[in-house]
Amino acid sequence: MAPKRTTRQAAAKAAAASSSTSPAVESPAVSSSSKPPSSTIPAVPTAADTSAIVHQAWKSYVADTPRKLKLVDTFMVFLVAVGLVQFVYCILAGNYPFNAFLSGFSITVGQFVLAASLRIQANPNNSSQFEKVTPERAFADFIFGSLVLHFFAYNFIN
Amino acid sequence: MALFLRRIMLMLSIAFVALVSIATALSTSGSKLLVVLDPSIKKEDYSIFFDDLKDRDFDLDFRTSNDPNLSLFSFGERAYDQVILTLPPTQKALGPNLLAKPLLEFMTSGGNILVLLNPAEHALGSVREFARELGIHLPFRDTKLVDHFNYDAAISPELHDAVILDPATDLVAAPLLQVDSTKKILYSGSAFVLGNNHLLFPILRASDTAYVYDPAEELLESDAPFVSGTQAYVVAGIQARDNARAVIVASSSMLSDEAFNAADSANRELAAGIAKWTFQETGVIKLKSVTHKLANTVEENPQIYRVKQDITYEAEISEWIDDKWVPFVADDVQLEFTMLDPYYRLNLTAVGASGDSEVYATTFKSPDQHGMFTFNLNYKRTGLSYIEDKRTVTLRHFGHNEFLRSFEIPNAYPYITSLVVVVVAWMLFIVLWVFSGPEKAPEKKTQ
Repeated sequence: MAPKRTTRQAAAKAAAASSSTSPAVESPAVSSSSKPPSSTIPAVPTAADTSAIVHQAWKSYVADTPRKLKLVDTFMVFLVAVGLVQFVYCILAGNYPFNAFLSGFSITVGQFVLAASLRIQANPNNSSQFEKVTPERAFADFIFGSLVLHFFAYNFIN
Repeated sequence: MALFLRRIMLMLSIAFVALVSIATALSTSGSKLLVVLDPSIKKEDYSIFFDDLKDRDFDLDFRTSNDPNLSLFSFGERAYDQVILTLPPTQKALGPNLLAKPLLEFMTSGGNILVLLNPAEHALGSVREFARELGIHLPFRDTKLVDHFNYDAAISPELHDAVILDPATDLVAAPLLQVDSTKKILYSGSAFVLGNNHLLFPILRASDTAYVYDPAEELLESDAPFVSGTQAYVVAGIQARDNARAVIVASSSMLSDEAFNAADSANRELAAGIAKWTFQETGVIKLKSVTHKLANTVEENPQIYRVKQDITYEAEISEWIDDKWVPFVADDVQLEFTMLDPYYRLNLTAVGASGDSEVYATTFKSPDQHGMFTFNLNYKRTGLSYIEDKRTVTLRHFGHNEFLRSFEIPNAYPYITSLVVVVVAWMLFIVLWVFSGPEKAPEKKTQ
């Protein structure tokens, strides 16, 4: 956690700071370009470069992201998948019980938004912006919001 | 209480119907028959025709047209059920009680009129006016229908005005009358022209080669006849909207004993057929009952239906044959379900007899449109009594609790499943979150 914070603060204070020990998750392009300062930057990134960037980003994500945030990310990916499945089904099979489609689709969207809120508030990097919101408080808010959402979705599906 | 009253009403009406049906043995509209006979016309010349009527249980009341006591109405009610009007050639008018207006009023109140024009003269004011009201244009006085190809050589070898008509081609309304088409119809008199009254229909017309001319003029000068060919009609009928009937026969000679007794003559059958139709003995149908209900339910004639419901409509129709009501079978009875425009026009299928009537039924799904709808049975065919029946019902929209639940619709299963999956995944997420523990919290604290 400590190196990540350092990176972030450094990035916030001065973009040109090249003393960071590890690349930042959110700005891999900046860090990768700053990593080999002496080499010339190619005008057009090649496919190998792109895959290297993605690979780098993935590695740093796996290494540096807290486990709980990974959990939230997994949940969000799952929600997107469920939502997409419903959307495709609606296009193929028709939206006849339209309330059911709206209910099923919007619970994935709503849950996604709530999960995203939780991720932002529970992210230690953002703790400076949410001084009064502890991760526990964010989690409680998430549960409350989710219950309200589930209540509405369940009512609306019939 | 209401049920009791209704039952009494029903019994009374049944008794009344029974009484009426006893009083009128063969005609559905009554047996009191007024025959307005001109003194110049001998009753004996038409004895077969009148005897046939008496045999069919009509009370014949012979009057002369100048009878001062003759009136079609007594105390505002119809005094007769049927009228046969023969036209006097001698008098200027039929008297005040037989003007066109009382004759039309007689029809309006349901009476039937058979007009027999005199072969010698057609130009009587009140009857001419009455015929014009019906849409029939009578010929000028003293005119004759002649046919130089189909005539009776024995009776009129020179003038060719004793015309022979062929029932096979000239009888337009053949299904109504049941005349043997191998015989022939003897006719002498004039012919008239039909106007465009859509209630009017021809019964017997002249043949292709016939025409109407005025014998007073020179034969060669009659190059513009009053009417010629199949446009010249000899017998035409009308059925008013209240089912009152009138038939105009262009010449009473067609019904005389002489014409009846002629060899190979179909005149008697034709006269009987015309009289039966005019006096409501044939071609009479009635709507016995109409019911509509939800399909496969018991309650009849509800005031309100919902959209998209299966509605069953049934109508029972009877026909008067000889002296009783029998089931009337046809394949062209239609039902309209209308709100301003017909939303449905459906063929009713005959599903079988029920007592003395045929049941016509159909089942349809009420349209997806709420409002005031009408079951409209409108059966009007030439020569048959008109049947018109309108039942107005309300079509309401779905109640909020009448839609299908989602779990009753297979199409909604994926949506329901995904809802459940999301909720379960959410619970799993919460459990994992709570038990995942503070991973790097100590580091955070030390910092």
